[in-house]
Amino acid sequence: MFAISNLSKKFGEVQAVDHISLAAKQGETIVLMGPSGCGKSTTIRMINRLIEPDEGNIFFDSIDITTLNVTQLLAMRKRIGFVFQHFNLIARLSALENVMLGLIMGNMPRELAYEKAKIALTKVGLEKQLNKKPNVLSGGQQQRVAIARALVLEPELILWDEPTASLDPMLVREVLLIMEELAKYRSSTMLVVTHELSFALNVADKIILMDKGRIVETGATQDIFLDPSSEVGKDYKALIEYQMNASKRVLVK
Amino acid sequence: MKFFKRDILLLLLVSVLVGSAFAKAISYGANFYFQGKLVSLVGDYGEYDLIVQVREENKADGQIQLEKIIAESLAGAKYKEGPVITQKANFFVALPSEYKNKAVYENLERIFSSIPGGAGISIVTEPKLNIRGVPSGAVEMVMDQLQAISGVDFVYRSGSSIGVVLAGAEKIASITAEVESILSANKMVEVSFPAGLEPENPVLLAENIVTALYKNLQPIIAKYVSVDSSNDDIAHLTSTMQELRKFLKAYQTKVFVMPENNVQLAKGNTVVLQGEGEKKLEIGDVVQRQHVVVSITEANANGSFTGVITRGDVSNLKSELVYLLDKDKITAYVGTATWQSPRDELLYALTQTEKITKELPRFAKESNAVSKLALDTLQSYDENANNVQKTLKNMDNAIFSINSATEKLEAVDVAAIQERIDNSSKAMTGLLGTLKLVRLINPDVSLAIGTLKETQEKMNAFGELLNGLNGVNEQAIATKNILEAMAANGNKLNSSLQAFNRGKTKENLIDANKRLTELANTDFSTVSEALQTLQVAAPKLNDEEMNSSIALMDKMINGQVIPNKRLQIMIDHSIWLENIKAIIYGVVGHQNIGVFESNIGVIETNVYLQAYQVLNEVQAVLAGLTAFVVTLVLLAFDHTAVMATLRNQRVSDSAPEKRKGIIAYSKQFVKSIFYREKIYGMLVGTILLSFIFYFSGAGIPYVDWYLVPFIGACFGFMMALIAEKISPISVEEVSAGKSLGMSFTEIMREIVIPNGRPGLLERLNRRNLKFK
Repeated sequence: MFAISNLSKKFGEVQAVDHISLAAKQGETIVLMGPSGCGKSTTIRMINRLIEPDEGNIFFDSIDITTLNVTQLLAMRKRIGFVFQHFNLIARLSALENVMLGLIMGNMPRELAYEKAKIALTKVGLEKQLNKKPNVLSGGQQQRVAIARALVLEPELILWDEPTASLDPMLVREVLLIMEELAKYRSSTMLVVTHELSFALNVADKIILMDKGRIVETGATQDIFLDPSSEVGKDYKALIEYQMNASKRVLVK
Repeated sequence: MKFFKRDILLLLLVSVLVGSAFAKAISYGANFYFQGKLVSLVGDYGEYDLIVQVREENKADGQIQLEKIIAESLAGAKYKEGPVITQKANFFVALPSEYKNKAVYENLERIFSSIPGGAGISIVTEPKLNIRGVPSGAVEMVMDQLQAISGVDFVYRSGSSIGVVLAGAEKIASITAEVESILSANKMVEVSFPAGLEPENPVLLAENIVTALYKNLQPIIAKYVSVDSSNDDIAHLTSTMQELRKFLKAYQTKVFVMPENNVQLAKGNTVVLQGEGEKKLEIGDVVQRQHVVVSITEANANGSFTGVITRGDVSNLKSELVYLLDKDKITAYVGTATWQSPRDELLYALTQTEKITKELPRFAKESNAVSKLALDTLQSYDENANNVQKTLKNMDNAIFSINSATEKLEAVDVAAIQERIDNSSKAMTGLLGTLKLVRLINPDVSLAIGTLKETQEKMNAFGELLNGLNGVNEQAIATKNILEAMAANGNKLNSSLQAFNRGKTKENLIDANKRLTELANTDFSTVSEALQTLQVAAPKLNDEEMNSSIALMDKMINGQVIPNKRLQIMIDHSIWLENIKAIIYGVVGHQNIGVFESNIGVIETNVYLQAYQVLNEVQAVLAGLTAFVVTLVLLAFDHTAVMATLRNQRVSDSAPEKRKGIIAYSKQFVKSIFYREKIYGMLVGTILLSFIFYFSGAGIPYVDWYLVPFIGACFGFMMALIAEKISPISVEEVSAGKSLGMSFTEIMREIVIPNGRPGLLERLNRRNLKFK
């Protein structure tokens, strides 16, 4: 469905992303994991050219995104949804307007856009928050609005940039549930950057581990976490075991 | 992006209009206020002609008198009471046209002189030009030229200025140009003298300079203009007093003091000499009235000192001993003195001259007679010299003749001839005897015998004569020798006689005779009378009186000598100053003077016009300052959001470049100038400030028009540096917009601008909002 080939990005002297390549099939959910600063967010932002890559190609539906002009790129972005870590809602717009924004900008009639946005918000459980401004919503609600905004455009690819990183642990679950549901029931391809192991374990079709701008390990979830070959993988395995043991201790009591 | 560019263009257009209108409004408002104040103080431009000032305490009486003057002398004039400023009440007077003329304007002081507490009159007629700095001597000439300009109503003199009242304001520019042309046709050359080197008679010096200028440079005009030509009396009086002073100074007795025993004297010291009275001067004495006090005026090269008598007279001097004075006390013996009294010498000369004059007629007459005698003698001399010459010539001829004769005689062989004569005589005797015999035969031969006898007798006589001839020849030769000796002496004498230039001597004598004749014809009696008059008229001042007179004249002259210690000469503008300087240096005799050139006058900007012009300038300055502020405000409120977004776009793709070191930092700085947000800022700043400046009529002193765009660019650059601080943009919202496929224009319209500062951009953008 989409593939990146030899993608690189350098910020000053720092090689943030170092010639990585990956591919995803239609409807696949890929989780990108790795320590902080390893280039995950940079990678994901390069896919829809929120950050311009220095080298490499990005293919989406056989179209090389890196060669698109401005107009083509804007059209391409409408096919790729993006959910940000900090929600990135438009503060002056209500939840409904935030969700309508993409549709209206795409010249959809306002009434239709209104309906679609309403449905999208209902799907994420915010039917009662339609006219509220983001600043009165909780983090989880805001993120759900952001998800609705991304989904209402019916993207073929959804990019998630640590969508739960800014949330309270209590709110993480509500977002993860939505994400899991989307992963299971939608046909969109999802590329998720997250530290949420539970999400990775539950729904990821493929795990890609990155470290220092490179992909260190790729594979199915079980393969990665049961028998990691990379240090990062081993770290994650140890973490999973630790969390499991901790959970057992608490829950068994 | 192109849609957003249209938004920006529209914004700029509206910004310029609003900014210009605002700047203009501010400046007009201020101008309106100040102009109103000015009009309330001085009246509207051209509304009034005169401002009569009266001391505040006399205001009421002054007003009554003013009304009276207007009624009696300026019928139809109107007046208005103005404000009291610095304890002076002001009355604005508007004159009817029949009183707007030179005669009235030059006599305003007199017309209004009866106002009690009058404190001056100002002429505020408009339109008018004031010309100041025209030297007194050039005023009349310049006024005539100004009056001849078309459009000039009349010209008047106001103190040291010239007022030019115009017929109308429409020609003020062209008339001003013509006036400037007149003032620049000639120039003023000022000659200034350092202290102590001022000329004794500057009027005379100036006239000499003018004469020299005409002679050497042939200017069209060269005129001494320091003193008003209409006031020649003062100039001539000053000049006369200076000449008189010079005469008295030359007439004063000079006392020459030779110090002894190393006594130190200096200029300004006072010394005393013995005057009338028995008592001799002694050290410690107080000087008495009868003694002669001398003030030392200069030191001489030979060690002596020259002084002038300040008390007493030269005729009172009884001793040559000199004593030093300290105030009026004799403190020390100085030395000896000699003196010279030009006054006494003059009187003596006059007396002697009169004596000569009395003898002159007789002398002339006798000389004339002598001269005539000489001429006659010369005439005789001439004749005699000619006679001598003739005689010598005759002698020469005689000598020549004698020479010829004696030569011929010597050539004659007298002995041979004598011998032949003897032989012939003998022959004839024989023949006679024969013939006598023949006669006996032939009586016809008696005749022949008679003839032969006669011949023989003649021959014998000739023989005797020949005998005597030798003696005669010898005598002739002797006579010739004597004659030659006489001739030689005679020639010497003749040479001497001829060497004497009788012609020249004659001419001289004739000439001398002529002069003597003229001298004889001279009216000696008149000359004698004149000399007697001169004797009587010669100043009879004693030395003390002369010294006092000189001091008094100095005081009087000083105020009149040189106005401001400089001479002013008007001359053609085309004459090169260096050439003028050379002439002046030559006349003055040294170069220790200042010579400068300047215009013959300057158009003084009308105070009222100046006040209005200042108001206009204030208006322009206010507009300019407002333009600055408006530009900064527009940049801050409308454009920083755009600049911040542009910056965000730029930096999102790369990490900030951090350079270390001055060179690297400098390179980075130079590179940063061309970042898109800074280019945008500079461009917008330039456009805004330039157009607002232009349309609002702004103008700031020392800020030329070409600096304005530069300043605008600086404003924009400055704003670009702090754009994010003024209009922080939400990077997350922009990213969200991008991720939704929104274009730059849509992001700006929907996200950035609505979140930005309230301003024109935000206002104009409202119509573009999808979500209001």
